[in-house]
Amino acid sequence: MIKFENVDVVYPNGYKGLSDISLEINQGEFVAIIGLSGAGKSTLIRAVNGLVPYTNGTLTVGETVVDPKNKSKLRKLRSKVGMIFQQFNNVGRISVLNNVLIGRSAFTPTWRSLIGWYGSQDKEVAFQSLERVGIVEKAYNRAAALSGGQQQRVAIARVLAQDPEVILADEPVASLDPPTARKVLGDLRTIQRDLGITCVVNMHHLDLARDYADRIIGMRNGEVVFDGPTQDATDSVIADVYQRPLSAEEISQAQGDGRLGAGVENPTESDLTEAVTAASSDSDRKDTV
Amino acid sequence: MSKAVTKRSDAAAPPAQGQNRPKPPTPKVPPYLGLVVLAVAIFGFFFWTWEGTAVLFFPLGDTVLWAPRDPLIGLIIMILALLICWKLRVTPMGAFGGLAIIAITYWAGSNIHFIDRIAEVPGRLTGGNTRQQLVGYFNPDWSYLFLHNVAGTSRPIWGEWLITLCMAVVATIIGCFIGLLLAMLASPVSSFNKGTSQTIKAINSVVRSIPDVAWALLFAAFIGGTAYGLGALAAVLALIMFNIGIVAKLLSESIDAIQPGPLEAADAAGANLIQRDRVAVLPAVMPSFISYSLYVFELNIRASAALGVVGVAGIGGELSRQIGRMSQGYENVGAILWALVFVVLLVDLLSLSIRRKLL
Amino acid sequence: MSHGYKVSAAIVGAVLLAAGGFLLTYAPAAESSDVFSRMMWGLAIGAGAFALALTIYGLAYVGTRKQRTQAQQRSDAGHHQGGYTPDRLDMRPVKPVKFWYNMALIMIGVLFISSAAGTGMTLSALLEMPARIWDFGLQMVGGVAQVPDEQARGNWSSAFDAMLESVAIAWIGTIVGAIFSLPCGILAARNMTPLATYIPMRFILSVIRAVPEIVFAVAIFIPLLGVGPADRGGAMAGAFALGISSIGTLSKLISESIEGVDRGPLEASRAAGASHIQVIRWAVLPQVLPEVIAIWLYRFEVNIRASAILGALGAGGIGRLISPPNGLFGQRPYDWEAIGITLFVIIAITMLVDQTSGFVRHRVIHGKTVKQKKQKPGDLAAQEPDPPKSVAV
Repeated sequence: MIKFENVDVVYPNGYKGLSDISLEINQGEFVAIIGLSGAGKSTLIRAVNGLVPYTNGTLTVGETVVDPKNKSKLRKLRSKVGMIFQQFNNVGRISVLNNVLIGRSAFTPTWRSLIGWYGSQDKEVAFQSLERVGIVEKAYNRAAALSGGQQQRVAIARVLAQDPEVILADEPVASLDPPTARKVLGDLRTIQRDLGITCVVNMHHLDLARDYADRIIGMRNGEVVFDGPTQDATDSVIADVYQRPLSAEEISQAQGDGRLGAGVENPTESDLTEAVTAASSDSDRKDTV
Repeated sequence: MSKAVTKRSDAAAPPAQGQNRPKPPTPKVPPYLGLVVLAVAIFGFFFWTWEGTAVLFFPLGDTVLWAPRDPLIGLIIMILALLICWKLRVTPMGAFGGLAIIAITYWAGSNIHFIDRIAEVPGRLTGGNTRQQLVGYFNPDWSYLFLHNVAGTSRPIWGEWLITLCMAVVATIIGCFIGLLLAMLASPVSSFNKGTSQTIKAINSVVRSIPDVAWALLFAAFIGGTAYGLGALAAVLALIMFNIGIVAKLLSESIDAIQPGPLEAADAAGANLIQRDRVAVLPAVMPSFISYSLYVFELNIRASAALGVVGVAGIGGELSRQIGRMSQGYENVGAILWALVFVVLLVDLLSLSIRRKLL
Repeated sequence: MSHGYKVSAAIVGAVLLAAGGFLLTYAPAAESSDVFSRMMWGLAIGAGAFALALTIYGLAYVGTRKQRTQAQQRSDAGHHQGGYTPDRLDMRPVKPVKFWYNMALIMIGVLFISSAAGTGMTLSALLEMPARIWDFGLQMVGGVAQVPDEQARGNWSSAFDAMLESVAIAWIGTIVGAIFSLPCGILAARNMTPLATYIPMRFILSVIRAVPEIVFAVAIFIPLLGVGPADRGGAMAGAFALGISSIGTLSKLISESIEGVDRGPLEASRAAGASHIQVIRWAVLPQVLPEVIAIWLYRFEVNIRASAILGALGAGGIGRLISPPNGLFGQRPYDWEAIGITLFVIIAITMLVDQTSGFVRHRVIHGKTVKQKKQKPGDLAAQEPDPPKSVAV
């Protein structure tokens, strides 16, 4: 379904986001990508729909080769590839229904979205996706008035309204509290299984990845260091991905962080580079220890 | 100033009192000498162009306003200021700022005859008609405002107020709408490409740098007269240009600052640029747009009163006529001015309450 | 109040408004003022059109009543789950009607029609405008582009003189405003002053802000300082009028930025026994100074534009040069070359001042010293890469 062939991503400032990635993700798989901040997880996901243009190699989604230069082709591709973000990225001031209808943009003539007059077909699709994520009764509420979990459901509904073949999720539950995170992720998993959508998810929470994913991909410094079914991802493998044994202190701290819902903000290009420089200096420090 | 002091303060208490304390940093001498040279250069320029001797400005023409009078006093003040800065241990950059401010102020003040004018004020207050004038303003003739007609016509004065308000409303609605579209084009976030946004920004800064009076005069000339109906059209067009400049600038800055997340989401959903602007950008800037529109409406009331001065319709036209025949009494002008304050205050309160209700 | 009632009330209101407007066209006020009568005609027509549209909508609304009641029943039943098995459609909420929002939009439309009618604009004049703009524009560009002869040099020099005078007026106005605005701003900041000074100060400032500059110029400073070119005092009048109105806006902005200062240093210096003045000097001013300077510079840009309109009233500057009866636009036929040169000078100097002041503002706010102090919140997280959030070991 998604095929990386020797894909490189080099950012304009010369930083290498992905180096020589070769991967194949099959139809209907639920893949979790794990790794440190700045390991290239977000870059990998964003390369798939062209939000981050890749610089070398070939990246194919379905039958289509992703071509970051060709805008209209990219739009056509993006209409089939939905994306969920850590910060939900809903438009706060408009209704939930209108937020979901953003997902119909690619199928709506421009003048219709300009005057906000969507066809009944589109509205029906939007309502059905809201029903699928279970917040149809909030359809006319303002998106900003919802709780975090509900907002992420709206985002999922927006993606479902696209009728996607692939869903990309960039830290979808990192800013939710653990019970809500589980619920939202469980819903995503069910929907994905029901509709046979390929799902690629960035994860911070290892236990969530183990509970929900079919397959885990570990990344470090822009390279794939582990790729295998979930049951193969043993603790030693994970420690290798993070390149250090995890001390009890770190684990408790990490859990504390998770409970507070603290996560890295939605990474932009500069954040990524910063994170990576920090990460590399971090590994230097470890060498000396 | 504050910087020098904060640096000085972090001395750790040494065992031997007064031994290891760092000296407060003294600014380096060469930059200060450079500043003195700069001051002398400014003085030289002023001296070269001083009073009455107009200088050739490139090949274009002569101007007398480059030169303040008494450049020597200016030099003394500048050197004194530099000395004070030195004593206070100001950084060279700060001293340069101070020097620039003093030089410009000296130039500006001497060119508008600051001291002479101030010296004349007591004389004017006691004698002449200034006193009469001020008394007249504080005893406005209200009956003129409500009962009289514009001189030589059958139009009542209060009708001129109505037309002023009408012009402000029409110009606000049209101008803000066009301003919204231009702001979308002017911000790199919502515009087609960088070139478009740069071009629109450049055009907009030209539009903004022409003052509203100049716009009114230009449009009056373009339309071919300031007769009654034409004058209103010229004023409305001028106000529209004025509004476009303000709204496009302020709103494009708001668009620059919106959260990038929803834009990315719209992109990822395959929306094209116009759809993205409509669904993600417009709702995000709507509150600022409404707030700017109200602000612009207030400005329009003030400006449309003033625009009449140049001969277009509205209360301003009457105001300038009355100022022109001020020798006949100041009560009429006083009435118009007080009414202007009242109307502006009213619009202010109105827009404040609307803003509270909406935002 | 149900939607039906609201709609019928709106129809009645619109009809009343239209009728009122129509009747008022016969009022004595309309006889004496053509503006009023045109406005009322506009109001009658606008409100009438609105009433018509609403009536059509209302008829449609009544016509679909049966369907709506059915839908409502199904929806109610769905929500209550009483004896009726709801299907999926019933769980969907009914679309709320933004009645007041729509009413407000429509009222703005009616107001627009009425006002446009009231101005009595002769729109037919717009047809001839493009040709004139082209013609005059070419002459203006020609004036700027030509090799200056004796007359053109005179135009250039008078334009520069007037524009520089405007800059001088704006500068002095800004200096006056800046000197007074800092103490006024401190006195109007809630966290710096007791309520007894705060309230009167705020009141005075809002009164100053409500008075347009031209009122200050015409009513106070032109009588006090003189009218006409700089040597007869017009420029000073303009400068002081701008200065006084600057005090109003500047003090408000400065007081807002003082109200937003970090409280920590204040408390620390109070705890160290600093007096009120000392706190302001050493804890408040260093925090707000960059922002205050930026506000002053911004006001300078505004003042340059504002000085033009004061010039038209007899205070000096560029407005005096262009506005009738003595200015460039007062002569017939128009000397388009001179106007072109003058506009060019206005645009060039205004943009130059904008650029310079924008640069200085940027330097003051994002300068070297400030940059170190402000650290992006993301930096800290980036330095320490997050360990995996929760690990089952």
